[in-house]
Amino acid sequence: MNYSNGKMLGVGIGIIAGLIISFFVLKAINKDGKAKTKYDEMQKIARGKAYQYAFWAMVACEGLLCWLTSGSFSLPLDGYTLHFMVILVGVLVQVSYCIWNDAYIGLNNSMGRFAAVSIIISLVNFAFAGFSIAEGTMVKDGVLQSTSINLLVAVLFIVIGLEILFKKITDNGQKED
Amino acid sequence: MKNLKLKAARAGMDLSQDDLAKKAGVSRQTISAIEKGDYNPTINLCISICKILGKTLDELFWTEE
Repeated sequence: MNYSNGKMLGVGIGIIAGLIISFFVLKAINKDGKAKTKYDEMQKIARGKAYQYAFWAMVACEGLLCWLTSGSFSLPLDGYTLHFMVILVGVLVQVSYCIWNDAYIGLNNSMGRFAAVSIIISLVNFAFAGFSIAEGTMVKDGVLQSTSINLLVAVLFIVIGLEILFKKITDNGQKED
Repeated sequence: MKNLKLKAARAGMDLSQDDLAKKAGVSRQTISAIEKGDYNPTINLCISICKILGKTLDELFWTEE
């Protein structure tokens, strides 16, 4: 097995492990212990729109990348990181729209457990990013490597956390008006 | 258009938005949006709210223009 196939296998195993972990994380953050988060009718409509905006945001990003890379222009990112960033843009758009339209926190979500899991995920990713920086594997020949994804995910979780916090503050001001 | 009839009926039963939301199986924000007129609920949710508040659909959701 050459390096490329080995990396592909590693990423594949990583994705499967991620899906399995996500299943248990969802079970842990839901008050009823079920993996499926429940949303009411208004939240379902908002989430549908959020997926729509996320889809077009990803299409726009990929289109932009196609255009940029069609010429001699090259971004200081490796291919894997580049496409993962597009996924993160989609996730950010979807999550942000849901947060600001009261459709992110489901009916059976436990806010405390949700916050705890988010903080843990963020810290773990920051730790891995720290190791990469310390080992000098994050940037190679001026190109950002796939290990930078940990940093991006950690920052994404902080942005999501801050958005939820701001929304909660604005909601408390408008409660029962 | 604000749904003041719903707000009055809820307050009349001494229920908070959160209490009504829990009884109807929706989020507090959904009840708030209905009262503010920002969201038009489905007929199923309207019926559910009417049953909880002991009102008819006309009493809570019919508007005279």
